[in-house]
Amino acid sequence: MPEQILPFYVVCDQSYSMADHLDGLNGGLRELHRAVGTDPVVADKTRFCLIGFAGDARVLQPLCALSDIVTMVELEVSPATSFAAAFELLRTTVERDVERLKADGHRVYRPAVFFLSDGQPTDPAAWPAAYERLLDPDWPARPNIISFGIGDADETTIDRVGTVQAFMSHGGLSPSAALHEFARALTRSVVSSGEPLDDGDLVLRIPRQVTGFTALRIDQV
Amino acid sequence: MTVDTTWGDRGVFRPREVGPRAAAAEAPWRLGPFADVPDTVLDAGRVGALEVRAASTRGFAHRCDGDVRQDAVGLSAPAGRVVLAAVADGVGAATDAHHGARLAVRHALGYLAWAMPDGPLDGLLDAVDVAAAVHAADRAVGRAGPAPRHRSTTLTVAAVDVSPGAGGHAFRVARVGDSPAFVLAHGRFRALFDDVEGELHDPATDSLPAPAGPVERVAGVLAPGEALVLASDGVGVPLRETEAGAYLADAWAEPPGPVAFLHQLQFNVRSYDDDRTAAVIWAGSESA
Repeated sequence: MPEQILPFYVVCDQSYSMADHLDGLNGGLRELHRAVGTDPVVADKTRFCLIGFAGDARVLQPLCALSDIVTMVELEVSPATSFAAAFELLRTTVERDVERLKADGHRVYRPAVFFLSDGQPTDPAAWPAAYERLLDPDWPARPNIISFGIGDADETTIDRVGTVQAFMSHGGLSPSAALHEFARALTRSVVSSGEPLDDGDLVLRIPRQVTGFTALRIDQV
Repeated sequence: MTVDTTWGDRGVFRPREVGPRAAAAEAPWRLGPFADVPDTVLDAGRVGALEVRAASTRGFAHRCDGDVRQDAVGLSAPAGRVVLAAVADGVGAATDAHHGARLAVRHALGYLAWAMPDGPLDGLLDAVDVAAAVHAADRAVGRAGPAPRHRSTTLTVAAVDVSPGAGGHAFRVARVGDSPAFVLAHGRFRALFDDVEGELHDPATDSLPAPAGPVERVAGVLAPGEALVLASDGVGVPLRETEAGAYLADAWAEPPGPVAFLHQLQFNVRSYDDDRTAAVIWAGSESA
């Protein structure tokens, strides 16, 4: 039976520089799992995928309904921080997932990416090209990206990665509440008819304020 | 006396499942925030050989969140000569979308009643300008205060001639936005407007006030036994994409009782949790 599906991807930096924050993030992902389990509107319409990256990137939890998961996988610290690896894997993963969902007859909303990092890539020259390919305007499934700067993050980089919004953490706060709030808000904003922007993209009804985070853009519609 | 459990006589509201069940459909309802916008409105009537049903009801998402119903529906039959119906779907992202939808319906129907020509007239529908009604609604929604975008809504308006002509009852439909219209004939829904689906499912739609595109129009004739259906996409999309289409085609082959109509509209299929609104006008067989 065709369903309406919003795929979302949590992409987590698990490099050494994130070591102090991984426990918080793992706890946050478990909370997200529990929260979605008690949020039927989100559970009905979303699919979730977890990607961890450091020197390389890996799909830690392939796209699935969160309610079908018993235990969340954990992030584990590893060396280096390749944004390029993350964006390249994201592109191939989103492409394959969307094709598979469509082949199964589902109607797929534009995927959403939550990108969590301290914004200190070890491949500063390489990643912008991979990022551009991820957002290729000729690729219909290009995702919306919401970026979260964790810990002592580089604001410029975090701001550059987010396409719809970027947030900087105030301190060691876990972004789990933020992730759930975003999953909720995104799901609600695709529930009913939306108002198109001039470039044809949807106005996403997303939170402008997230507890423990500062929004880097205040000029949202 | 037997108790019919399908109707919730035992305290359980149980709409028909036409696919995998929605978890949101099983969550407790929360009251909406505004006393003057109830969960559901229901209307029904008969005008000449035309049987009419309309309902607008919150989807599973708005019920479960305690949000206001953003759809609106209206029926009228000025002087018993024409049946008018309007469906509006307030744009989800707009804060006063429910006001926009209600204003659009009220002003579209009000305009047509006001503009109705006096006296007998052949080809009555030539004088009933449904596109002008959409424009009148557009002005009303736009002028209802500052920040008109917060009242964004779709609007689909239909007029059906009560007097049958050659082949049946002439009808006209006009719209802005993606609220669909169908003719139900021989067990199938035929879409009257072309709603193109892109590579991804994009809920963006044109809307009042100040729509980007022109008012779309369709004219046709409703043969005896056929029905004209206006809907919000909360009904139109699952009707097109899922088993809900076959279910409703069967349920609406003949005009159901008003309460049955409301029940049918709330079919349960996972992920289709938007507000559900439809206005259906059946051309009675005896008008042949």
